[in-house]
Amino acid sequence: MSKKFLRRSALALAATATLLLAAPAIAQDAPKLQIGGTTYTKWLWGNQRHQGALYNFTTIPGEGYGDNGQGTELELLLNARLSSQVEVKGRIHSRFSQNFWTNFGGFGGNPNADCVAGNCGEFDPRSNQYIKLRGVAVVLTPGYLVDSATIGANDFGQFDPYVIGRIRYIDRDNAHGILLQGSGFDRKLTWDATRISLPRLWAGPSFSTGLFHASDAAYGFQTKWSLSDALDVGGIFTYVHDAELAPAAADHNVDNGRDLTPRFRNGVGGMKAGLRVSDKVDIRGALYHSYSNADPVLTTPGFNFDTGFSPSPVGRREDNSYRVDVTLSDPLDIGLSVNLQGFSIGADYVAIMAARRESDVLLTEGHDPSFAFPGPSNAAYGVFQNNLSKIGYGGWTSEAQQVATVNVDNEFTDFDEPFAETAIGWKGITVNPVYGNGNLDLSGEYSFITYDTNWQAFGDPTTSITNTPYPVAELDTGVGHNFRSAYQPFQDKRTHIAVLKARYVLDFAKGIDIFGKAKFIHESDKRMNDARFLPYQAGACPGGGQPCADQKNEYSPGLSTADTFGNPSVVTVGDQTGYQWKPFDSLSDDDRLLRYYAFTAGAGYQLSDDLYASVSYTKYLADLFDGNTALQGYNRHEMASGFHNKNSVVVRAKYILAGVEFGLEGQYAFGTFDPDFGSGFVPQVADEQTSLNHNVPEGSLGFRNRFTGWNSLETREFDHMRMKAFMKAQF
Amino acid sequence: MPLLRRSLLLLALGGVLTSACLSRGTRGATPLFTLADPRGDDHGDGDLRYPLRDDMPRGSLDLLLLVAYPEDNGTRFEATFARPIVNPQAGRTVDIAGETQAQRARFGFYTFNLDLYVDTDGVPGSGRTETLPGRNLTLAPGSAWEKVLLLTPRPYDARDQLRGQWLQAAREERQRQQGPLGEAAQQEVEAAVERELATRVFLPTRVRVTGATVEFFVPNDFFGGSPRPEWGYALAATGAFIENKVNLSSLFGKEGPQGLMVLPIAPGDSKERFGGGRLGDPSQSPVVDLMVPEGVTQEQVLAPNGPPWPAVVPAGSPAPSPSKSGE
Repeated sequence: MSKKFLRRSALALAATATLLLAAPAIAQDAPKLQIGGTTYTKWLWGNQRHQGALYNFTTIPGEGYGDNGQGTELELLLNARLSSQVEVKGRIHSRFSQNFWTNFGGFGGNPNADCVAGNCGEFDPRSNQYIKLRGVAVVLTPGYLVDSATIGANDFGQFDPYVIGRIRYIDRDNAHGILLQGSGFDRKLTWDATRISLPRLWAGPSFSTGLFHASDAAYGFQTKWSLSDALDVGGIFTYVHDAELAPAAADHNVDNGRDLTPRFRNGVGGMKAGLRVSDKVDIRGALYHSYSNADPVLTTPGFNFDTGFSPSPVGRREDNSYRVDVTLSDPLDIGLSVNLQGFSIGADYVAIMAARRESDVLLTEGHDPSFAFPGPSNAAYGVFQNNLSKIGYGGWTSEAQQVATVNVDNEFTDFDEPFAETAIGWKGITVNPVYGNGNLDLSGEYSFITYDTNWQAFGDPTTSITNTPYPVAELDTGVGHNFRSAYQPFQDKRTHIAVLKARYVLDFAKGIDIFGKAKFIHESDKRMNDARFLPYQAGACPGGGQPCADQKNEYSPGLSTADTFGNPSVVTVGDQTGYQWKPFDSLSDDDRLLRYYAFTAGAGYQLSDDLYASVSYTKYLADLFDGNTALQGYNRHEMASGFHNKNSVVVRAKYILAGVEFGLEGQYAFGTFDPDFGSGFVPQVADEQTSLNHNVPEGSLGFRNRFTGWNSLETREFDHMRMKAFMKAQF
Repeated sequence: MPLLRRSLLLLALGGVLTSACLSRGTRGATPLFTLADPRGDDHGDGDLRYPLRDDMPRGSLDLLLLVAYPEDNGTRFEATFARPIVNPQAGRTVDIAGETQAQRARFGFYTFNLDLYVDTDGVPGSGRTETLPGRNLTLAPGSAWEKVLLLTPRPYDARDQLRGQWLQAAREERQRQQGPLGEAAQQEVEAAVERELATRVFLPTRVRVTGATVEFFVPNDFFGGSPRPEWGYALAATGAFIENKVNLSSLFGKEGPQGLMVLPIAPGDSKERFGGGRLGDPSQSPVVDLMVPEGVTQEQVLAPNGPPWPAVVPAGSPAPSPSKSGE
């Protein structure tokens, strides 16, 4: 297969080279070289006092994150228009990373330090003001055979976010490849064909393309045919081929070259159609089928139920996704339009090159990124020491966008940037009325979402939940939807989302924008809904200070959830003797019920042609039961059952002075969390060491979970302040 | 809490329905005038081709209709294109600062500009004949405009840029006439430009996009009343350039004046400009669609050495002289 593709690529290259030589018009158009650039200076301040890097957030091991510091980036853009048919583009770009102003120019540093916070100084590229080559591409527009050929860096945004999404890692054109675009019939028929060199950082199982990466690629083709002004149809296909050198046992003779063996293959095909019934009615539909196959030897064969991180499930998977959109554009001529969407994204749908961020594949708002991680303060694994929240209590201040992959990427973002969450497994409908009249704009949403991942024991009760093909990431606990968590072992979940937004322009001076929003989420999840999956037999824990008996309940021969939800020890605290946590002996122990409200009110004003400012206040109220101490946040996360009362005040301003743009976003988030972890256990008292390890007052109440993590039972109060300001000039 | 939930849903439903019912009155109003343009003529001089971008398919700048409706204290214009208007995406960041497309173009569109030059007096020689920067068109002397509406994705930035460009031109002109300018003269020039900007140019900021239609509101203060069907109207659609970029070449005088948020045209095809431009014609107009009266075609006006651009008079007769209302 790879030889075929190599041959095709060679042919495409040869054709392109021929075009270059044959292009007669080169001399007719004067060459032109443009040098431009951008300088971007950022000021971060926050009371979390992180200083790992000049980005608020990352989960990548070894990379820093922070909410304090000042730094400057510069990129120089070169754009040479050699003729009307040839353009060359490129950028030379320095990155913030850990280049703080306080580094004093990147001198010194400790080469043996952990290279975060600029500690390695000039010994690490991330803190020595390094320059990177970016965005080098040659764009050919020969005027025949193809419309354009782009060779080199590209964001590949012309494809489909369900299949090949706009690719951004840190920059928007980290990806490289060859893109040919053509058309026929007066551009009524268009096509795009590409070979993208497969990003070794993330485009394969376990965020890797293995040891042999240099010939790995994604191949894509899409076409669209506008049959008339009213009807267009299209198709898209992609194939990802990640190969490794064949092991010596399978390839004895290296004199004839070395064989390759597939590590990961992923094919996605899709069909799309759009029908413009009238000026008022548009219907669009898309159907996708995916196939993925991860070699069980060359990739991880399975994941533990609570620690799997990978952009795709293991093994051989096939599934479908579809989406139907109906747009009614003011059909009654009263200013009321309605958007409707039906959607389904299969649990096993895998498109490794699908958009990871900066695309929104669903109409629904989804969840709020103010609650992006399991813990009440957005900490992951917060029951263990040294796992403070990275993004902080305030979360992200944007709205969430949904992407059709678990390969979600919110890395290297600041709190004011767009936030993405996975929609793998989601299926449902969204109704979105939009009304406008005079100074008033209203819009609403109602969504009902159920899940293709509603299953027991990961959908296969014949296998252990501690060896699953599904990467669970942070699992699905907490107020929101942990952004890359699509899978959990037991799920029986439904979500209702209702939103009402209003905007009114007050006729005063230049017009004051008054805006408001109310949002409601009702989410229920029975999780385990069959008693055969309970970990122990009824009566294994008799209570009354008596220890539990080791009477495991097997849901299949030799398989029991007791390996995960072990019974508690008996502890004595003061005059109380009882279980360390509640034994998992009821199907209701892991139930989830969320009633979530968010209310926003704000105003914005264009103070002058140069300056716009807005201020908004949001009240979040979340009444959550997310399992009791038997589930204990899947043993690894802070429990979030209880009442969350969060407030957020956000100030935004933008000022333009002679082409230089200044921006500011400041947030003050404050609130409380009143835990309610149920009963059936004996609360423990934090000793001095617990206090030090878990940042809780000595003598406060909590309980120690199966992995010795600590969950506080005290009311928590949060104060989170932060600011991002920037200065940016493009020239 | 269930009570709150029900209340919320009822409030949403009630709000939409009530507002919808209340709106019927204004939506049924008789138009002040209507301007129609043929479908399928979004090709400039006949050879213009859209950029090789998936968000600008053919038809997306094909203006079909402009209707003006009277409203309280102003006029609501509705412009309809051949294809649904592409909305800026809230999730797509467009620069290294993390600004999203929807933040940069916060009025619901980002691919086009609409220029509406209004000749309120019909008097040859009265008003301006040059179009806004970068359009590279000249109106016929009998259609010289007194007012212009510029619907653009970033109106405040556009006004700021236009102020800068007019100021530069006015200073240069004054220097050419009088030599070096003292502070008083500079202030005089600035005040004159500011006056010109305030009385002649309006950039709508009450904008709503629905399907293929964009509507925008112009207060009566600008026209001094409702726009009249006897006036002349010259309407052009261009591609919008929404980056906030200082053109150094232009600043150093190596290129012609900077366009006002307009996507240029050049020979060949490109993702960053319109294609099909003429070789050796750097001042070719990048206008995609143009409204012209009977007797002249868009292709003629946009051709090299074409005739000046005449305005359309909806009432079908020359504009009466001189109303000068609102001036």
